[in-house]
Amino acid sequence: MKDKDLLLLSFLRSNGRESLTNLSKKTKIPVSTIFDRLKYYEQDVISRHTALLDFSKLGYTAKAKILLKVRKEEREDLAKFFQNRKEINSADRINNGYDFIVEGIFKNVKELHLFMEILEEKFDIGEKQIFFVLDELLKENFLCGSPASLPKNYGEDI
Amino acid sequence: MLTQKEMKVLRCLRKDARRSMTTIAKETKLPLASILLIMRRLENSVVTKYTTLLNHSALGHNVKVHFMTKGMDEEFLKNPQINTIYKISGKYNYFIEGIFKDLSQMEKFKERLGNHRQFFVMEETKVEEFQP
Repeated sequence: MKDKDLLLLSFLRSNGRESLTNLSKKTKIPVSTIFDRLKYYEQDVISRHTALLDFSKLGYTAKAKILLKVRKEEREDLAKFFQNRKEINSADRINNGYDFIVEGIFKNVKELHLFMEILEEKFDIGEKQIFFVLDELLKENFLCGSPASLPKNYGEDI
Repeated sequence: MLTQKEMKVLRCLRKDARRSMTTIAKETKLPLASILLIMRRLENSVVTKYTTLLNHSALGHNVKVHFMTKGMDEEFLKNPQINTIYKISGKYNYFIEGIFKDLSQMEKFKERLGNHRQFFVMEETKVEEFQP
């Protein structure tokens, strides 16, 4: 990946709605080239452009990180379950004693407990740990900001 | 609380933040003139940031790790490898998501973490998909 393309992605990480004209000014890449590069990267490198939200201002007061361990045979079904549940914002398959770490967003603690009850009725949950998110100090910050703040050799070997 | 019109626009932006105002107006069946006003209101309240989610492994950053720690160095807020930091309840005080080129880069980062537990991400099942 060219340094300028990396710069383009970093500006989009900082502001996903930045106009093509502004991106062109900031990166010194012609607008038409930026348009083409975006289309190209949207095939595999860019997953989605989105708005990050303060869910508490929408009435969702309970946000939690949940660690879960299930039987090996149930892992695929549990992954599908998370994909279909609207309460689950993010889910990762992990190692080190647990199988999943999920981020759930709920109206209140009662709704979280109801979700956990449904989860435990459907799956044989071996171990679980719930951590409530008290504050977001940083969110989706990797590759954001000025070129100086980018990880060294970010784009090498690509 | 948001109005129904504001919620419609918000859902559009959550699905694809780069949609033009014209497209948003068509999808929500709201007048174009009100879209800009609604967006400004949302940006001053619930929208914390517009961003582009990346497939980091496609860019050569293959190691994504969740750390749980008791303490956190203020410098971490400026650390380029850190994607997300939450203050959490319970046994640990902080949840940190780091993205690294390789294991040696991660090991170097860990030297500053102190007492922690780490979980390597084997596969991303869902990323930032909650729709209010």
